[in-house]
Amino acid sequence: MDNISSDPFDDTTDYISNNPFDRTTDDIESRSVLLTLPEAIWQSILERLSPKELAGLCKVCTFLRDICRSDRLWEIHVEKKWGGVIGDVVYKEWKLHITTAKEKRNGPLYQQNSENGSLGSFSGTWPTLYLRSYLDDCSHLNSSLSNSFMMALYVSLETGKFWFPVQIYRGLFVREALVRYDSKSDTFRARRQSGGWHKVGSNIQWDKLRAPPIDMPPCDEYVSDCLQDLKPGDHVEIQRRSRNGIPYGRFLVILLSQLSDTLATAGAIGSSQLLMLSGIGPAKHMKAHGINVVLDQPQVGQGMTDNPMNLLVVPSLLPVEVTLVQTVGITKASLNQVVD
Amino acid sequence: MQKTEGEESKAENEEVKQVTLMTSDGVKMKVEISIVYEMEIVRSFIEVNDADHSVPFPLPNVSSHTLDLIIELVKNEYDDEFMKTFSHDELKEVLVAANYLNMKTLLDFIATAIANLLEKKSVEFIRNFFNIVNDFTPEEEAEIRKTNEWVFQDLDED
Repeated sequence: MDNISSDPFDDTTDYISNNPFDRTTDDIESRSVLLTLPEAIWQSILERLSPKELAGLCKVCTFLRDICRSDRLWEIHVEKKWGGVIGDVVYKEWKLHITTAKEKRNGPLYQQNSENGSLGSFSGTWPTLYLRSYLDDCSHLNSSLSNSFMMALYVSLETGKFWFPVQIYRGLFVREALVRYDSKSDTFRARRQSGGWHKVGSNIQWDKLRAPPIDMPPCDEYVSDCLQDLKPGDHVEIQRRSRNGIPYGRFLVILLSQLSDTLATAGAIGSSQLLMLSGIGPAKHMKAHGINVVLDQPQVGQGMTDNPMNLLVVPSLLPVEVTLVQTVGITKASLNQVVD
Repeated sequence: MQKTEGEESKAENEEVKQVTLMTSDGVKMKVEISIVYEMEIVRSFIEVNDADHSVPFPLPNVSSHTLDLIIELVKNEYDDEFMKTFSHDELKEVLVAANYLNMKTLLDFIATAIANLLEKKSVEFIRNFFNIVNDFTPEEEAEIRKTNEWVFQDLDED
């Protein structure tokens, strides 16, 4: 409040005498309008501007550039636009990318660095390695933008350079995938990793996406100890996840949640069991076991399939090029059965 | 709370309670207490000291013209149309005064107005508006241009 001085001969006096031709007194007085306003006032003006305008204001002067790149301002925009689809894991991954970028920038290899992308963290063990995020191109992080965590995150999401983990609703299922944003169509493109990259879909709408409710790699099983807390009326959903250790194996996981808290997950056989124990399944079968029927759903426990796999290990004396698992032949009969 | 007090005194004195403010250019202005109460800096003083309202309260950083504008804005319940008649200089003066007087509602209102004004404006316009001198080194300027090109390809050039 008292930083607007009423005394015309305070700290500006020196400045005037040192630079008599540089700026007029008028200039200095009106400059003080900008420089003496507390940051809170700037904040309240700038937080009303769009991301694009904030970026534009960075070109005005160093003072505005620094304030317009602040995390406090960009956090609002990140939350507003991306809050529904990015979870804690995205922030963790982003921290990794931005740290790598800074190290690259300061490191001796920066000049000859030809690689543009940046890999996030891995989970699982070979050959089932899951990449949790990656950047197609991180050349923008070589600039001072890498000092602005939130702004850099916003623009990397907006420009579609950042592939980040989400869960996608597909019919009855929820499945894990990495997605990138396409600003032109305002939709997402999704990829899934399981023995190589697979396209999951494009033109995916915002409402088909959500942040993973728990921070867990897609190959891990989540074990919950609060099964007894389940009660009728709880939200139930089915997630399709890859099984740990088997690249092609997929199985269903039932996720029962109270509000947004994940309570339990189970495998191909366990899922049906879990549902039936909760009173969802064929009424006749459940009654026979003395279970109260919540919903008569004859499909539960039917049509069970699983993907068994045999592993053949051939020791080699010569070094062998490492590739991910590939399909080398499919019989006609099995082709007819392929249903995804 | 302020309203009740104002109404009580209205009933007692059959006239609106006023506080005299003295502006930077030496003008004494009688202002309704309900408006004065929006100025945290004056309000806290009056409340603590229970001062004699006839003694002018000095506002060395606010001119009589700016105070007039502020009083009109509050009286008009922050009317957008009225605000639009302000010159850029008046807008800035009101912003600085609102900050000095610590008027939260007015600050919010004027921040919105200025944000709207800055929308889709060139860098030169913004420099002129705030009287900012371009203090970038050529390297810094190039770096920002590069970043912005990368970020928003369709960002309007000035």
